[in-house]
Amino acid sequence: MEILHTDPDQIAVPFAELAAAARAWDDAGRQINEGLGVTPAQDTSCCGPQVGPVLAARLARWRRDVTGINSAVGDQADALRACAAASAMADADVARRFG
Amino acid sequence: MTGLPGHPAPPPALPEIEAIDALVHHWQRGIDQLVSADVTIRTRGVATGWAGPAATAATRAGDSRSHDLAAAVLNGTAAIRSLEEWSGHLAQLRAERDDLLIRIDAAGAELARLAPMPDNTFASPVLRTRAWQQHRDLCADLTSWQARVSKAESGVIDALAAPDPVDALENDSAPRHQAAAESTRRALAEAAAARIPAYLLSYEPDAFGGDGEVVIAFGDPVAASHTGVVVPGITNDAATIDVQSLGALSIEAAATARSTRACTIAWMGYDAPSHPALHGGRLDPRELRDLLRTTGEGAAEDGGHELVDFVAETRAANPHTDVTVIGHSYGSTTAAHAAIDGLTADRLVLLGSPGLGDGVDRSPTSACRLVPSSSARLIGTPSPGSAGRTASRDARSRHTESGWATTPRRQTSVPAASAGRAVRASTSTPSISWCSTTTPTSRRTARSPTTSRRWSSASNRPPSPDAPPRATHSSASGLSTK
Repeated sequence: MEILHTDPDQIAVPFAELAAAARAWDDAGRQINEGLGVTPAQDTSCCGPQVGPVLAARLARWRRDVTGINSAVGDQADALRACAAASAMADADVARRFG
Repeated sequence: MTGLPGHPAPPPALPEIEAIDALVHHWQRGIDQLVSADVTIRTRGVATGWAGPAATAATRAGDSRSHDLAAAVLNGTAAIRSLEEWSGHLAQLRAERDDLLIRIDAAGAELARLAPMPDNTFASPVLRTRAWQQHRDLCADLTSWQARVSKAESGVIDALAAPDPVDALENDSAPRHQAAAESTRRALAEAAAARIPAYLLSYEPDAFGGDGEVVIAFGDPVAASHTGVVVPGITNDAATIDVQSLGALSIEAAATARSTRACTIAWMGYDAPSHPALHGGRLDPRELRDLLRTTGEGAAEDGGHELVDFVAETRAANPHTDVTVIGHSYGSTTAAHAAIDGLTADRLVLLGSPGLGDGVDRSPTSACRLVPSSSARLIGTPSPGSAGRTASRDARSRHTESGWATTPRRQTSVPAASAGRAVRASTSTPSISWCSTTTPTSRRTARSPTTSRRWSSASNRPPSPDAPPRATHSSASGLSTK
């Protein structure tokens, strides 16, 4: 993830904003999971011996793509949380230094 | 003719339509969840209220994931539409099969009834011969029915196994496709340079007898709250999609500047009439034939059907979006024909229209009533000194006089500058804006007869030239240029 490569020293953002964004990505991840859940790798034999295997391949490809996206979304949420924690620590450090 | 015919072989079992519909239903629910996730990322997941390199990186990552989600939604929707179409065919075929079998049984029963009748009357042989003929015809119909089952099956297999448009574009090295491929790549590059995500919804260079079909969405068509569909006029085909895309990109840029979740689609999804062009130093007779279509409305009628289907599919992928169809020149005639064919647009804007067509202007059932308005200002501002400037002033003065448009509209820099008299429907849907324009200059290549095309979907966002290198992602769906 690109954000993982961002130097934490350069982050000067409200950690609350980062945490909110992370929650949004978590929500998106949950929604994608639900989407995968209601679209299981179904038995496509109902489509007959010709169409069934083609549909199964197409469905599997789609599920693989979505699973990959979901993994990336999870990484993004984790990255945002890490940045929020770093930002919060920086905030606390500043507060400590200024007494 | 005596004796009884053998019973025809039972037709093969049809796939279970109800099970297919259930599968489609589940898949659609899954896609709906992806749409929700896309909107969540777009609205709450990107950096707001903070700036700097982290915000830039987070926004870029958000754009990328949102793009992936939209691609998955579009790909899934395309597959679902194929299945739904197939299921519809199967339902029809099942009804026809049941009817045929009943009639074949009835014809067999009639033959059995006639069989013991003596031939010593005039009527008996005639009746038997007629019954035999009817039975034979019905059995032939059953054979034909089986062929149609196979054809429907081949259609859905082709649709499900078809490569995504991005794959088709990236792998297209056919010389005859060179102009369309280069133009499409240029359009995508323009979008990347403008940092506007582009989705290649369709790339079919062989469509329309070689004129080609290319449809590009600028902005996320799945998460957009407002969608514009730009319908080009004569002299356009797949080889001019880059020129068409400039107008769509301008509208999209203006909408984005207003922080609107918008999507503008350059739609070269119909066989617009061409103009004579020299190919290899000779006049291509196909071009002349195509040009003659400009004098009629055949291409507009055919294109209208295509446009209705496309907008319906766009809505299927994003049910809550507000759709504006913008027709330019002959494209306005096409859009007008679509309007009376059941176009599910909220707004219809007609620029430089040569006319809406007899069937539209005079149709008592038309849903489109034209009344003055200045809504056309949404589309563009004429360049200084252009022929349309005075007319545009007229439109603005009408706006001031009528005071109908209470919300000022941002003016964009669409190449096809708007001007002229403007009209709008009152409260009916779709509403219509109509103004005259200057005709944009565009390149042309060969073009020929109409071929019906359907929307296939995939997406592509080429990397921005100044964007940092990204990891290559090759998925089975071919969405590989990230």
